Amino acid sequence: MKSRLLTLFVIVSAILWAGSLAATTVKQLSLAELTASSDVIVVGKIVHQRADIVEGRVFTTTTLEPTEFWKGTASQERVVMRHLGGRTDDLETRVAGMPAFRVGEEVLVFLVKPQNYKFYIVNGLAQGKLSLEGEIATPNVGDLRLMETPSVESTPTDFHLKPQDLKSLRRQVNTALETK
Amino acid sequence: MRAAVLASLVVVASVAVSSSAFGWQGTQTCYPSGTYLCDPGEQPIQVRWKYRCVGYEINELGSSDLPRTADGLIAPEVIETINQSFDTWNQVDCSDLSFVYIGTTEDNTTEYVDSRGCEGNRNVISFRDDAWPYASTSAFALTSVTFDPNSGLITDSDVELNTATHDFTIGDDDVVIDLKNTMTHEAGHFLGLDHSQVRVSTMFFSAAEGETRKRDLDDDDIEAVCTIYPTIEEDRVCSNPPECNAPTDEDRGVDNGCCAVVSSREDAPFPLILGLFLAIGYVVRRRASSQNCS
Repeated sequence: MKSRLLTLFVIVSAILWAGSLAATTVKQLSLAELTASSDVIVVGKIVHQRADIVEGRVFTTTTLEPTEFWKGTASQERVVMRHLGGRTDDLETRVAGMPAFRVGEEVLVFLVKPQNYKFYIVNGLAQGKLSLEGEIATPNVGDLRLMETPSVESTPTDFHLKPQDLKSLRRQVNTALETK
Repeated sequence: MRAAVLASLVVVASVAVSSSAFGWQGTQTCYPSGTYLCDPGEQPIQVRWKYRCVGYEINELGSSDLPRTADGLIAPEVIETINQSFDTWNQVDCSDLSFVYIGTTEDNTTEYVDSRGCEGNRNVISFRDDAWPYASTSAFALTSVTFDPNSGLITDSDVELNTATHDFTIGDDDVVIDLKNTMTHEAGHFLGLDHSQVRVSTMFFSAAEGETRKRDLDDDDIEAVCTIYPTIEEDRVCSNPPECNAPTDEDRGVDNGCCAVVSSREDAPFPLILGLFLAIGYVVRRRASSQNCS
């Protein structure tokens, strides 16, 4: 009986929390499209994060220490990203679908550097960030609604939904770069 | 015994369902998992406006893609379209939330400055003709909601429309990205809603080119606004501009802010669920042990 109750507790709790995800709508980018449209593709570890109020909204600046560049290079030793949204002690700004990081997290990120912007931003919102555990890369698009074209909803691919082997991803990125 | 336990579980599951686990979602100060993780011991709070009269202003330039006056300012019909979008939420009978159009403004910024109090802070609707600096150019619009994380009270809400990438239209002819459709959806974020999983709702995740369905609210949207802002004053009349909506220091020190605000998460918080199951387990064990004794 005790184990049944525990099982049901877990199920009901999962149902309850599953609905809490926020979301936004963004064009689905395949791995090849992400590769082509990114300025930098880099593997590394998040070593610092800071939330600041910039022009009245909270932006989060995240510093990544690269271990391997798959595409492009950074002009400095560390890659600095900044995204709208984040939390200070007194103020929080929320925009659904923006990628988020935590210090100590190892990631594979697809980055772009907009003109006249001194920071990198993740390409395709959360599509462009994968969390790493050893050689396994896990996507983070759970709160994104992916659309292939403006009028046709697409089916997210394995790349968007399933953990994948990092070496396999590297090969696919290399192939995309070679066929560019 | 088994029937009693089952009945209890059905009650618990019903609580979960009525808290919209499958429909609308309010913006929460934090979540137990995922991107906006709660700190240890922190409980999620529904993000909301302190008062029911909420002002907004529209940037006077509008967009070069939409009608303008001879003076190069936003045309009245564009303003009217935006106002109709907010009015759609105002017209819900079971809620007394009232959006108030204050007027046009030169202000094109999205900032909130705490030191300005209510004097200099505006909730602004802006069009971004020149650049869309938020990575995903596929997004039609973006609403940034800034709030006090301790109380969940909103300090500032701004809508930016991506006219740099997309062609917005007004009216019923040759609809591309319908401004009213988009703005009605964004007004939902503006009041403290996240996306719904109900496909026909205004707050559903996605929109296609030419879509006008979101101009009108679905029952799911109505349930959302009426849960967060249920009517506490019939025939509410708002001043223009409305009363200052910025949270005070006192508000910031009070976790749950004002009365009559119920979040979907607060309907059935995790500790309540845990407590219910522990209680069921306790009853089961007591009954089992009493049966063994007899």
